[in-house]
Amino acid sequence: MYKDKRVKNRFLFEDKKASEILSIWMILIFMIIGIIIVWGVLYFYSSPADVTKLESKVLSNKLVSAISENGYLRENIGLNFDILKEAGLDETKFSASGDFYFNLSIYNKEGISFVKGNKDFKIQCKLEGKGFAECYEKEFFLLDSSGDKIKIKILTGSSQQGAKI
Amino acid sequence: MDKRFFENKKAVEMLMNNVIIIVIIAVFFAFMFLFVGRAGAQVTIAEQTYAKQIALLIDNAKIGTIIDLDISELKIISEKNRKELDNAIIINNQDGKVRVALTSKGGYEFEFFNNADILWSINENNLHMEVVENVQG
Repeated sequence: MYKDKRVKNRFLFEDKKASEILSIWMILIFMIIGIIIVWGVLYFYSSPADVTKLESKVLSNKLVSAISENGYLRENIGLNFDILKEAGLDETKFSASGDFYFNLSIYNKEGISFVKGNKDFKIQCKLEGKGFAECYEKEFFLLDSSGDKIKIKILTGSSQQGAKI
Repeated sequence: MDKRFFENKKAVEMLMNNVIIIVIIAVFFAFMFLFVGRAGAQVTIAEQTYAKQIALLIDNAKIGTIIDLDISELKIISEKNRKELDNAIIINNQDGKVRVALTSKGGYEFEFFNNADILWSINENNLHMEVVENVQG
């Protein structure tokens, strides 16, 4: 580089041609790095922290606690069983147009099923993409009073995104 | 360093060029670090994070649970924005909502589905919550 007549013994930045080439490349590289960092940071922090999957899991755990006791299915479970009260869930949050949903099926002789909340989630749970409910599905066994296995299936969903005031 | 080094114009020239470039790069990355650091400490992010965190804690809690949540980060942000920490967090048992507002305008609201009542208070850097049975049913 220093053999180049244009540069001679002067500062690189005093040589117009050289400094132009260098500064253009430098500015270009810095701009690219800067834009990528700024875009990445803004994208990361502007996307809301999604806790819908966690909410579905918590809801599922609450339902399990409501129907089971030491691995046994509670004896008082029937058509009149108030699942919302037993699970400690707020009834107003499980409206047909709300942000929450659950479907609990007990495969015993009676074949009891409890469904509450936004029923549209049953379909949304199978769809992928933004704006759809996030769901959690669980299948397990409990024992009845005679020691027989009873299959339990729980599907829970949430689409709550929160709100800026 | 050898005195002759500074007498060598080419060497000085090279050194100066490198120093200038290093300084420019250092300034550029300092700005980038500052930007990333500031973006991470934004009010809206803290409001959203804490509102969701508190709501999830309440949802997961059983009757009789006592929760102490460290909110020193919120204290720093609210003090910066001249907002009292006592008014920054509101847990509304009637609507089942947690509201976190660290500035005089705006805030973030998140619902919880637990039917229990939450007795809460703010002590210094802690949000103290007690989950008790909802007497109204």
